[in-house]
Amino acid sequence: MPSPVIIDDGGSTRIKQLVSGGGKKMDKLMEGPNNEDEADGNFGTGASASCDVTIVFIKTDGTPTTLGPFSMGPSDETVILSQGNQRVKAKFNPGTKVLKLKVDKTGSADPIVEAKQVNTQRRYIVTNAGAITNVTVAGVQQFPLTGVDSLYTMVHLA
Amino acid sequence: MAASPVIIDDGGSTRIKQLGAANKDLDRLLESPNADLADGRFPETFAVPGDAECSVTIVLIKDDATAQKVTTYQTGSLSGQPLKFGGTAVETAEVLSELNQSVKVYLGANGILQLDLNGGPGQEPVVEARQIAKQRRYIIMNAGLIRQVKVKGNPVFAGSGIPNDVIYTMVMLG
Repeated sequence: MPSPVIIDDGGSTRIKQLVSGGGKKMDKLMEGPNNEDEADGNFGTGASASCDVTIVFIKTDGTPTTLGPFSMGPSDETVILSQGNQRVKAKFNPGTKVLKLKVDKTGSADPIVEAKQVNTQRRYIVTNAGAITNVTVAGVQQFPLTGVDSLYTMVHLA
Repeated sequence: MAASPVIIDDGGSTRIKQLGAANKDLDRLLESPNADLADGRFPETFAVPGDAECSVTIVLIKDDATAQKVTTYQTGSLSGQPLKFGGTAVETAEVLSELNQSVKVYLGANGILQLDLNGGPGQEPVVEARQIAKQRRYIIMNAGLIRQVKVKGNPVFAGSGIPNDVIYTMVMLG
């Protein structure tokens, strides 16, 4: 089973694959114009690619709330939009169980991506992206909830 | 003025911000000796010096995407007691991060919260400020994940601290 991929905020939007069980570098997330790379491992059981998308956010009173898991199939896409019109997309490479991550934009500003590492855990920071404002899974908006503000938002793909 | 919560969290480096106070800066966290005062008085109902008190709420998210809100000690003789400290210099809360960095907070009798950053010997905190829109935050670049929280000198979590399967920790002071 591959290690989970995490996209979260708290300031800038960040991307990492947890190292437990074999997370890896995804340095091509820094390279324009495509800014895309693949997570380690095969996602899904049986013949088809799949993963569960779970959203955890913390309300302004400190209460954590979990949304999902939502199933993402072979031809589905998860789209995470952040303040600053930056976007992270996750989808499977066609015909494989390999999860592809792509950083792109909805406005005119190209993403600025930095890599940082502590011990064996590397993470990628979209420094011109702010808080996560919207998450859609397979074309359906799952976050935000109407009228509920978030202090922190994490999207967990496993 | 009532205080907005102060947030110390991780996910990589340890970060600090105060919510709500538009463009509120804590820029002295950048300067040695790395200490500054939060806006407002704690708690929100503060009226006279005897009222000064700060509650600590900790949120943990594990690698399986489950989350836990912690408002009481999880270990020791204080287990189950609420996480809060008052307005004397001997009552503090401390957030201890990997790489020997820590954030210590304490209240004055006037309800004003002071934050002090500390590193181990020869490991001065390296602090950056970033801002988007009206929210400024401070990042201790040479601090890793939060590993333990102490309130009034007592550890909140047993043993070596926050469990290893926790991938995100938020400490809210309010």
